[in-house]
Amino acid sequence: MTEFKVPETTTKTVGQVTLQFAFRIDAEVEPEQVTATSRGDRLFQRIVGGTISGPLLNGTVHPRSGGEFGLGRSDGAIELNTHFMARTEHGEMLYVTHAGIRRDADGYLRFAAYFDAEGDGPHAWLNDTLVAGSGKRAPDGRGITFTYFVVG
Amino acid sequence: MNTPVEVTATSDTGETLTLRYAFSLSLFFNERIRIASAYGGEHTHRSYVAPIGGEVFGPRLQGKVLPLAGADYGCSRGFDAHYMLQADDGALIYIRNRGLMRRWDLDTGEPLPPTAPNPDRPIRRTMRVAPFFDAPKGPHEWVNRAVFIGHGHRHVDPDHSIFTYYEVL
Repeated sequence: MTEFKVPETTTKTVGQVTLQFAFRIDAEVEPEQVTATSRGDRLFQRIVGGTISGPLLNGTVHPRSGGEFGLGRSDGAIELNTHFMARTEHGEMLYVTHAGIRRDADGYLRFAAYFDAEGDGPHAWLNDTLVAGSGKRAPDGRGITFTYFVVG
Repeated sequence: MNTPVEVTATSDTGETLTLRYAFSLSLFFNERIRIASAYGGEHTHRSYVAPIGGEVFGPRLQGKVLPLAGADYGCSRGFDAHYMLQADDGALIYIRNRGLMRRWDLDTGEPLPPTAPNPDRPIRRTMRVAPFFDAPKGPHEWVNRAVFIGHGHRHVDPDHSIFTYYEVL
């Protein structure tokens, strides 16, 4: 095997990030469907609609445009993948995806969100912005509030 | 480091999100392979950048980066890297380091498009990542059950990047 000479890491400062509240989505969802698969429980919750509000984005969730897809693992964590379309107040369509973790034992639901917006539109900044978020599931299983924060 | 580094923000309805510094990663490189991409339009490419080593340091994890055990297979807008880490206790931890990069003109501070690098023009590259981990059962398995956000900065001479990871609490 090739041996490489690797220098000592000289820069051990903590890279600083900022967090800024961006918007929230009050999503209306259908009850969760659970399918036992060989990889674990496949969870699906269709997103029926919703409203988007906040300082950086306002609009609606395009009706029935996606859902939250989870994979329940043997360690109790659920790997989340969420996909849906958002329609801004100006009519632009955005693709929204979350990759995250949910733990039902303590109500943890956190994710990184990525967006596809028109490259020369007013929301193009979303294309190269990392967004972190949390989700809160309604007790009746019919709603999820996602809160989004820009990581600067 | 004794004092935890935390960042918190609050939404209009009082929802808070807190990031807490967990650990850092240095990655040293000795070559960058670039493939012009046919489908993504002008200024897009696919890259292959493999680490020859590095360190894991910080309050929650210490160890090293295994050389040539993975790479960044990124494209111009973002990157998508796979690495194997080895903790000081010998545990192997897989990291998938996915995120976005921005390029900045060092002189003007203006953002730059993802064009081919121009050695005459000094630029600064900043990255923000959301990694996922696979750690074995044991003291490190907490990384499997949390979301992380990272800060990345690319350095030259020698070619290396440093990522600072925060647990999303």
